[in-house]
Amino acid sequence: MLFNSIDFAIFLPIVFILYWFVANKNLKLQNFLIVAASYVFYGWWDWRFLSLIIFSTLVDYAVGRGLGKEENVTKRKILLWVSILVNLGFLGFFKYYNFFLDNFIAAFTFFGNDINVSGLDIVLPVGISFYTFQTLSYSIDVYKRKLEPTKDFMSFSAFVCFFPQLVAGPIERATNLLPQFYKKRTFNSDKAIDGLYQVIYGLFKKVVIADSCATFVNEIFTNQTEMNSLTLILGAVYFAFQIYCDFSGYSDMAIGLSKMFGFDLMRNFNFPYFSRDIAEFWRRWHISLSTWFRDYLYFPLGGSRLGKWISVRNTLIIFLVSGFWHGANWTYIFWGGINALFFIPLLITNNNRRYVDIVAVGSKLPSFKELGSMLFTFSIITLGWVFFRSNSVQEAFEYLILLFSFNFEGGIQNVVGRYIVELLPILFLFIMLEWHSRKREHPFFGTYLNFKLIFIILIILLFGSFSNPKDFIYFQF
Amino acid sequence: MKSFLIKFVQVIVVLFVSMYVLDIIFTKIYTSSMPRNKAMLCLTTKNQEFKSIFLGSSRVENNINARLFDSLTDGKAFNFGMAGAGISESTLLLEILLANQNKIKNVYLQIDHINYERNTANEKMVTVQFLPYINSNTIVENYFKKHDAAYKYLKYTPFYRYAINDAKLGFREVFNTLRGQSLFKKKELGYYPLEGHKFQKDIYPIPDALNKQNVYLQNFRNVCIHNNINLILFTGPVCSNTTSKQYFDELLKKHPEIINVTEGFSDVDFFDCAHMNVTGAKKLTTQLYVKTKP
Repeated sequence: MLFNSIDFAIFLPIVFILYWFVANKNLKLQNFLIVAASYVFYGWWDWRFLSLIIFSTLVDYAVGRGLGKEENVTKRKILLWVSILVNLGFLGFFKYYNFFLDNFIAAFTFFGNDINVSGLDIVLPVGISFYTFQTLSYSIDVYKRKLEPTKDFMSFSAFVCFFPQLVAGPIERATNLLPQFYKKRTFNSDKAIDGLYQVIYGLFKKVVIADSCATFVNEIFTNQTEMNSLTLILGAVYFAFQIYCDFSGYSDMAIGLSKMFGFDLMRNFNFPYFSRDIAEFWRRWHISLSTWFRDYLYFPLGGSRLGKWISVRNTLIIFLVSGFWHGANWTYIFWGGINALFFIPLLITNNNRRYVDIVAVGSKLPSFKELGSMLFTFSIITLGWVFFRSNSVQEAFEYLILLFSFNFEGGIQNVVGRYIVELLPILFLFIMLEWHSRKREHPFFGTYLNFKLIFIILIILLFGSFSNPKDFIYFQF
Repeated sequence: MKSFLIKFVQVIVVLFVSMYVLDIIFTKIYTSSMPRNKAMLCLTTKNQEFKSIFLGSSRVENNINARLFDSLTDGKAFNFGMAGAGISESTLLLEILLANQNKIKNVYLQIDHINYERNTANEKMVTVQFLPYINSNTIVENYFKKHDAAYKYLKYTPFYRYAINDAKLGFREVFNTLRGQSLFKKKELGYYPLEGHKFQKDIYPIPDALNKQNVYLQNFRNVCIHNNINLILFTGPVCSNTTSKQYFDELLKKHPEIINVTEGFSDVDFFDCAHMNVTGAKKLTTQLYVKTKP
């Protein structure tokens, strides 16, 4: 069920009331309710998916218990590999089987051999890319002895399936989230209210910004050959905002809901479009995934300890794998590669950690230099998004060729019977809100808090896209 | 917990008060402004006398030149065709016009492969335009009560009908209604001319077999009989790039009272396979007049 759906609006208060008024007396009951509610939440999409997540939970719990008892290095490695193979095996099969098969066939055909093999009609289980990485992080941390394996199966199950972050992250670390299930949660009003504000802000991002942008983006990308350069530029910009608001909106709702249930999840986005270079962008965008790859792939490959060129190689691998994680299509790999192309020069020149503070800290407005840096970074990120959004690499190149043809004939075009610029005032408002709250998680603070709250609720009602609710983009990953 | 619950209740109150106030504002704008669409037009048209009105889908709206027909018949004509309208929706329009004390002598209803095959009511792209009137017009209210499973939410939840149909009734539409921007051509008496040609490469599909019965056609007839209206059923042409035109033969065989206006046209008369351009509409309207001479 989507967070912005009637089903969830009924589900949430029931679970909330049961959690804080019935189950609050007992830790086991609290965790049991979390597991039960999470399985209902997840099974709402397709009850068959439950078997996968339950199996994954059982395997990783058993692996953890085994690692806790086993001292033999080889046997410990075997146990770890069982977890890796099961989790990545599920991911590989459900997500990448047809991709590899199609490319295998294409390669054979290229060399003049025909193969008659048909793909499988595989349904991608929602959230599989997220919870497999989450449980893998547990197994790896236990193997490295960073974490004591848990004997509490209910706590572990709750950690794996915790519904606010189950289907689209943040990808939590066991070291952060699992211990929170060992202690009975007591209600904290301030935290819960803060969570409520964050949910409202996330909803605003999703239904007002993301879904409104999507209306134009879908039309522009589908009919890109009929669009002039101005429209294509706006299409790319709108997609940049769509994907940011869709994903960070979901993360805000996930984090906000977790606060309402007494949990603290890691931050997933930190105003990435205010980044002054691409290195800073990657410290602010999808933080839970980029840090996962840093800790579980980059560092084991040697990180930056083995010299500059190994570091460059490892960085390239991370970006390509990260791209591939997003989907079984060459476009995602290209997107990762483009980001690597801009990141690596900063790495080579030791400029990848230039900007670690908040932009324009202490000032209300950015300097011209900061503004220029942000706009440049945003531009190159947006060019990369064209690959992310396109159905194929060829279409992405076609889009960019048309965009850079600088054909402005026809001026502002109508798309779906609407002027494409009509979203710009809303985006401007959004950017102002984000800028104003760049030191915090959401804009509901300070003297005018109640006014801002009423204003945002009105904006959601007036400009929210409810007639054609769109799935969260990251559900497809 | 107490302070959280208070805050939560405050948010809910703000939400519902906003919905209530916005509902009043939106409804007031829609019901008080110059008619933007034909739904609003028929709801605000009162005590008029029409010699002929045309009802049906876009194949009426774009195909029947009401101004021409008006001049030929020397009596008031109007094209109330609406894109997407089936027989059920046309019945709704007619009932509203009659309830507003409008006198109508002749009703022309197009019957074709689209509306005859449709045995469902409440085509959203049409009926959504009536939603602002659900609380002020009994006929509209009864229509949704009969045909829409979400009727209770539409009627009793403030702003719900506007939010759930934001593309058709949302802020943009309110803004354009306030600006007085009309979606129909008042000067053309409801006819919406299409210029040129926009042919599709694909073959235009027409069903092989006729629907056994259209459940709404008899109801439409009954409304006309009850109100002493002369009902004229007709069927219009499609281009040559279709699967088969046998459907129309079957339709005319089953309903010999339907006036056949499918012949005497070439592809240059069409904007696309289902709709006439200006030239074609003129020919069709003239042919219809000659065959029916009201």
